[in-house]
Amino acid sequence: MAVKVFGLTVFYNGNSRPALEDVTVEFRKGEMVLLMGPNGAGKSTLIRAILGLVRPAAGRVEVLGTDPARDRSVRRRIAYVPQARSLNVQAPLRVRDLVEMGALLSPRRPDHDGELARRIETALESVGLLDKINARIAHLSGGQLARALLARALAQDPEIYLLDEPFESIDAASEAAVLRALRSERERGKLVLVTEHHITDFSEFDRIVFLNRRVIASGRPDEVLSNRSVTDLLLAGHR
Amino acid sequence: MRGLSALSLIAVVAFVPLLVPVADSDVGSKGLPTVLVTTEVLADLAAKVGRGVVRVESVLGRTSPETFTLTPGTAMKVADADAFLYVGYGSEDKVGRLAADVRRGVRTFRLLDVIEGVNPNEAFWASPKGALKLAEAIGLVLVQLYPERSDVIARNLEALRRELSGLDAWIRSELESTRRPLRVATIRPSLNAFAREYGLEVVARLADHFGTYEPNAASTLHFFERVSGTGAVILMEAEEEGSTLAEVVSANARRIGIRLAGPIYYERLDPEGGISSYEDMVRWNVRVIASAAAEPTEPRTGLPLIAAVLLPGFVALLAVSVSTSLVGSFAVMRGWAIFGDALSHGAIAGLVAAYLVGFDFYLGALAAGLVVALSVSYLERRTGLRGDLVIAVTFTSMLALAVVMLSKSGGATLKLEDVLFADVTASTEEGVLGTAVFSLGVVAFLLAFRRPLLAYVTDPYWSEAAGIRTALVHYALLTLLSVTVITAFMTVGAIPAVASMIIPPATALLLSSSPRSYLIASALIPALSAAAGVAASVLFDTNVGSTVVLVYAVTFVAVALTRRRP
Repeated sequence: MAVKVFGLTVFYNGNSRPALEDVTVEFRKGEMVLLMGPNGAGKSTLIRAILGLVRPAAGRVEVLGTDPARDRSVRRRIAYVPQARSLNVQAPLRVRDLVEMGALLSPRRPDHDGELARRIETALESVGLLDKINARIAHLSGGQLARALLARALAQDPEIYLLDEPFESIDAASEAAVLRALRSERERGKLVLVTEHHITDFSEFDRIVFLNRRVIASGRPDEVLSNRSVTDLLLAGHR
Repeated sequence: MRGLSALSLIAVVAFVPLLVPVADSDVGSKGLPTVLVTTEVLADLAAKVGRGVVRVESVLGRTSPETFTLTPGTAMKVADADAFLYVGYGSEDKVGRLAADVRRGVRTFRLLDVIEGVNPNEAFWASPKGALKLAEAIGLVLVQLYPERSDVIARNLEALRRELSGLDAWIRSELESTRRPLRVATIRPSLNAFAREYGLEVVARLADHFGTYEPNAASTLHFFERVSGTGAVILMEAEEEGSTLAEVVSANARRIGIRLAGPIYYERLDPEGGISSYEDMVRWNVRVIASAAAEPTEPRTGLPLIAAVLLPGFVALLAVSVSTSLVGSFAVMRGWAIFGDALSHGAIAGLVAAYLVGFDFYLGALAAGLVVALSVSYLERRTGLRGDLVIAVTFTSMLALAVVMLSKSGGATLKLEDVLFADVTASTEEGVLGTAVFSLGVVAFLLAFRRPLLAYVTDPYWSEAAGIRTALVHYALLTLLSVTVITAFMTVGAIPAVASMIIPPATALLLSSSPRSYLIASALIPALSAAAGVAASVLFDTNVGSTVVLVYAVTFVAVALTRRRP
């Protein structure tokens, strides 16, 4: 089991209502899971808990057999892909420099420059962005930037991928490229966990976990999406 | 229009009791009307002329006319006085005009308007002959104000004339036996009139007036060329104590081997030092001049003069501008461009506080800078307001605090202009060495930790998830930025310090496409600008630090106009 979450309850400062309440869920290696839920459902909080960045009020989190809040070294084995807008695109970074950040964080860090360069190129090739290797990140489109951020995660060669709304405002071609690369990682036995509240193609995912502070439903996409509580929440979100 | 007239009338009626002394207040606490004057020296002469007729008070006291601010208390005092007298030279003229505004011109007299045959840009009263002209002008005003007491005023004036004549004879006998030619140099034109009267030669002065003056490399160089070429002794004015001009003169004189003497006085008295009257002041000055003349000065320096004056300042400028720009290169990416302003304004408050309690200036400024940095960081998190707003709130408050402390300080001689335009030619060798070692340390730290710093400033969420201790990196960068900017501030002044943090990194952002080229450009731009700026300041006779800032600005504009958007 890659990630085990038991009875997790999290409060944020000054809030009497918990961000997550008694959440128990497990994620296996070689699984591609979509974490869904309305705004404020606690999707990002769960991701932060798996990274060991929040202090639980109750319950615990185990990642790759260890507590990520105590054992920081486990974070090198997890690749986090933040939302593209969190990146300062004014920074003087080329796509190459961005991806290098992931490669240098890797638990299997490249030994020499040649290997580093190969790792960067392979990662970019997987997301179809090799031709942009020397482009400055400020010159990328939204979709290209999302792919570059995924390439950074690929270069890290982690055991777990956590992607925070990677499909937000990207074009269909980029969405397809990202899903293709993620599918390939799942096939290599990696856990891929994606948060998103609007996605077009559910067929790529093995499982959907629907969250609204608690786990509302968990199972195959068709099962979860036919669950009455889930459809009610989804309709409420669109109203 | 009618409404406006009515408003004006209400305003005039409301202010009349403040501005025009009522009949009852014509009699002061000692039974005499109060005449307020600007400087202590003027107060002493006016008290002698008006003995038994008026009570005289100096509004400035130990405060320099340049730092004088009008507090409500002082304004009331100015408004309440029976009359206000001022000479009308340099910054003292500004104080007089401020008082005239408060009094709506009522019974306010500028003495230079009735004195003939003196140079208004010199301390003409520093010689007894000039002092007599000033005293006669005071007498004229007092007779006009109190015609019924003209006989007393005339008697007082006659007594003062005799006193000054005796003083003149004493000066001539004191200086008769001194070595000739007796060559001196001063910071301000404080001794020119005296020198003409008693056969001294003032070979150079750094500033040719008594107003606000920013030193610059060319005038400093010219001053020392004249001084070392003529073997003159530099006489330092007490009124310049602690000013940048005084620092420029003392640092370079020590380096070149020119003797400093003094202090001499022209505007302020020093009762604790035995100088309680104009006569004491003149006698003190003459003794200083006579003893300085007894030991001729022999300039000694292994370096050509231009290098002796400019090299230490250039090295200091180079060191702080490169280190500040490199720290700034990370800070501006984090969105802290305006932070330098908060730090420098905080530092001013720290400097004033340190000055008032007699604490080390650098440590005072540093402590205040760190308080500002941590306050901004805390308030930003606590309130959730945007960083630029919290920074703006903080620095405006700190500047106000500095001015309030200055206005409460009474005898402050610290000039804000000196803080804003510190001059690198005032650098001492020890200071330069310290600055260079510090700057190398900063550069080494930044290069060693460039990867986590870069990750933090470009992608804080990813960095945190990646296991980088972002809180530690945040506070390390904030502290390093504060210490570096404050050190630059104390070395080259506020404007070049803040500019070095912002403009070269901004230019580098336009020029670079990789982190490596960005850091190289952030180091090279300030280094080359420092060299070009020093050369330009000598060529165009301008303030060194500010000239370097203009070189930064020109470079930025040139790059901005020729490069496409990053």
